[in-house]
Amino acid sequence: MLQSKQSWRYTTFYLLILMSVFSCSKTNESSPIPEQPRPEQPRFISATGVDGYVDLNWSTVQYAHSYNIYFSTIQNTPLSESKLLANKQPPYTHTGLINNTTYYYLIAAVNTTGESVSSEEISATPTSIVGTNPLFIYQWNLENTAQVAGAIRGEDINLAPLITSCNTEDNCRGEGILVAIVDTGLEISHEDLFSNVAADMSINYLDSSYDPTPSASSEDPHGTAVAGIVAARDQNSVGLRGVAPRASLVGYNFLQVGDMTTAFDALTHDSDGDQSPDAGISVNSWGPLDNGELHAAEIDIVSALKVGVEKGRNGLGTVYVWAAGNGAKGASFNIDQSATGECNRSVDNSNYDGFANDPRVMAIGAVTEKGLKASYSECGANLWISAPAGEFCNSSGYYTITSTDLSGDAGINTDQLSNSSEYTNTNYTKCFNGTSAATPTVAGVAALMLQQSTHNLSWRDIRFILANTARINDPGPQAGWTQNGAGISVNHKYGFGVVDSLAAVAMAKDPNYLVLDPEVQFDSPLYAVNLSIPDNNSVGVEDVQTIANSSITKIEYVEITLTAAHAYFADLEVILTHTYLNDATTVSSESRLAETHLMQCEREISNCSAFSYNNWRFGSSRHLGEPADGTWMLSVRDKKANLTGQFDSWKIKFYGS
Amino acid sequence: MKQGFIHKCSIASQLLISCLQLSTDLAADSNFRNIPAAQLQQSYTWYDGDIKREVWVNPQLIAEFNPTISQKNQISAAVTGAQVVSAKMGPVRFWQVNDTINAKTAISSISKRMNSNQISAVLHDGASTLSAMRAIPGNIIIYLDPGWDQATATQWLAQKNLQVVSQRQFMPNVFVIKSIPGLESLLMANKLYESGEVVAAFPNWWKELVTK
Repeated sequence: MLQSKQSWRYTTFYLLILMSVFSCSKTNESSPIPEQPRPEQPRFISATGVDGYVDLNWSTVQYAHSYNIYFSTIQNTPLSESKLLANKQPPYTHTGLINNTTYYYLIAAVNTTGESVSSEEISATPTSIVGTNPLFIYQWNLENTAQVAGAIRGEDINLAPLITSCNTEDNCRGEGILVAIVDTGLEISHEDLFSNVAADMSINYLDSSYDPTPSASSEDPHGTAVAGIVAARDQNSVGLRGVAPRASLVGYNFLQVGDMTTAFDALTHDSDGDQSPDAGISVNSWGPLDNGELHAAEIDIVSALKVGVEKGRNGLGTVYVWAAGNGAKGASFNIDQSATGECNRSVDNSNYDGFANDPRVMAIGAVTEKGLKASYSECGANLWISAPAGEFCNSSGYYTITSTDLSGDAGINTDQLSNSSEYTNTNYTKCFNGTSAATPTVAGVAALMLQQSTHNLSWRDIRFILANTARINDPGPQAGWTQNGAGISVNHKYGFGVVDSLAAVAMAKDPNYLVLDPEVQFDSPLYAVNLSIPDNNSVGVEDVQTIANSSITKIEYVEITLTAAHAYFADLEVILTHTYLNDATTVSSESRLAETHLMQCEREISNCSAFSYNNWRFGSSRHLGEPADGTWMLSVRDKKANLTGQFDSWKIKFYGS
Repeated sequence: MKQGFIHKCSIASQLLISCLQLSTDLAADSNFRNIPAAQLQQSYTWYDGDIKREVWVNPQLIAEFNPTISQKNQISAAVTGAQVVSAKMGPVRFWQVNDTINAKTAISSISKRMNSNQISAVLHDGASTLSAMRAIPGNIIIYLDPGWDQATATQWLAQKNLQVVSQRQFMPNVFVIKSIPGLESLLMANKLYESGEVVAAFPNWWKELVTK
């Protein structure tokens, strides 16, 4: 099968070469090229509305090189005010459309001389088809009926009531919300995705085209699998359904390039130059190595996120969802078999990842079909919420998350794979997992919230609602749930709990919901400490500071910047404690910012000094709803023997209102 | 799972044969990052805004951007014993030079032979080859005073003979400036930052990132 596919590719390659040779010889023979007449007006146009897309066709006209398609949802819109799909050929399928909305089209032929008179206007209205999604029964993350061995019924995102209440012709599936998959690529023609792909809005940074489908040489399925979780099409009689199965998708294959310039664009891409990034929601299931080292987000990444939350959605802010990380057990490194993945026996912590702990993102953890922390999912005070992702696929029939895979024999589920537990249809996989799988789940819920709410929800509102509606999972006494000073339940493993789509959408739609007041930020001065940290000592150094007159009565996020030069920073435990008076009652809450942990370079211990806390920025979501005023204590403890250091300085910054 | 393959073999596919097969294909390079850490002696500073960071040069690795077959032949001819040691990570292919040749020397040899310079030193965020890798595909990014008007910014860039590749959307006076791949870009960025005339200047880093 693979051999056959490769030979087809080579055939195509040779054909292209022949064509280009032919083209070259033609050019050499004719000089100069006479100016062509302007092409004629395109005629015989047809437009047929299908489920989420319109099939367009027209007769080709003389002298045309290509055709510009102008479209609008308003009849008789002038060309200058219509949206343009440039350089097309008939037939053309215009995807990413909203059912029951009429689209009006004008088509003009184009050549080097210019553009023809545009065609007569034609319209079409996409409408729903009624089909099932055959793989839905395996999507325990959406509706857990204990279909996986050992699963606990109901350990899902509570989507079933929303599915039931959304009638076939209703727009209640994320319509009109643009979700960007910032990843390795996106197979835009996948049978279960194409109708949701926004036409000509994706980016392939390798060739500047609109098609980020992974190349034959990379065949990286990751972005395509992420996209399916968000918005695989529903009712189309194939595959699965996404959480928001009619949201619009764009793919930015940033990870195929990986430089700062591309990262900035992928996080803020503005295709129409309206000074507002296109994406309503940006899905980022990527990050630095999960090896227990400190990985700062560069100034350029931070700048991009600032742009997104300030200018995205015309000022309401792009919603950034980010994978918390898979390094609890050291991920691929296996540096220490004693790393159990429990928070105090982990290699990596989400707070060592400067992307996932940025105040403008939601860091998403992963849970299993039992509602427990996935062994790989990183703990962290910065975690916002969690979502199902499962553990690991195995050949005895246990499977993780069902999603779209690269079509045919490429990707995760290949026909080379002698894995009887995989789907026979290799366009899909049941083996996608990691916080990569949890992250798009939350993105899908955010799309449902944005689409169904009548409020102008900012990115902060989305976070606030998700936190306040998350479900407490793993409720046992040992699970580590505590209530913060504002009475909100929070957990070092799960953030505010597992995303509850029904509750989140209900709050977003609630006419009594009051959108958050404008954001206030408050920066403390730098607190110099300059004290040696006692070695192998559980008390450490504590520094207490008082915050007053901050004007923040409800914290949304706290940022702590620490400098502590130490020969082996992973020895250090860092705890932030907030104490304040609430109606004459003393209230206290805590953020465990860093654990004494293992890391990749432990076996080269003398070379780990590079990772001292040098202006390291921690994040904490755990003080949500508390006032910023009060006393804040930072404790730095060296809980391992031998290597030493000192607590130099720290500062604290609050985001809230 | 080997570090160099993480980009391909995220946790999503830890048990998948497709991933294991990739590892088999690249068995020869299984230790390409395990150069003894003691050899990572040369470090450079770079400025992430106003935060000073340090990166260590890997003496045996070279990053080749946007690899082609002809480029591969040229590198092989320029540096005796140089071997491709990893799958492409994004646009980067890694080469290992043998113990007797320093990567810097190898880059110099390659640069003399190749018209298009697509080669960079490989740097690590820590003094260990196991730490995250960086390389410089070319160009630096500078943040000028956002209060300057466009004319002032343009004039300043001209005075410094800096060739603008692009100007950032959304952010006033942030420019991508033309520079060649490799350490020269790092040194150029540092010089600009240390002049005190810019808010930030740093290479257009390629950085080792993974899917989760």
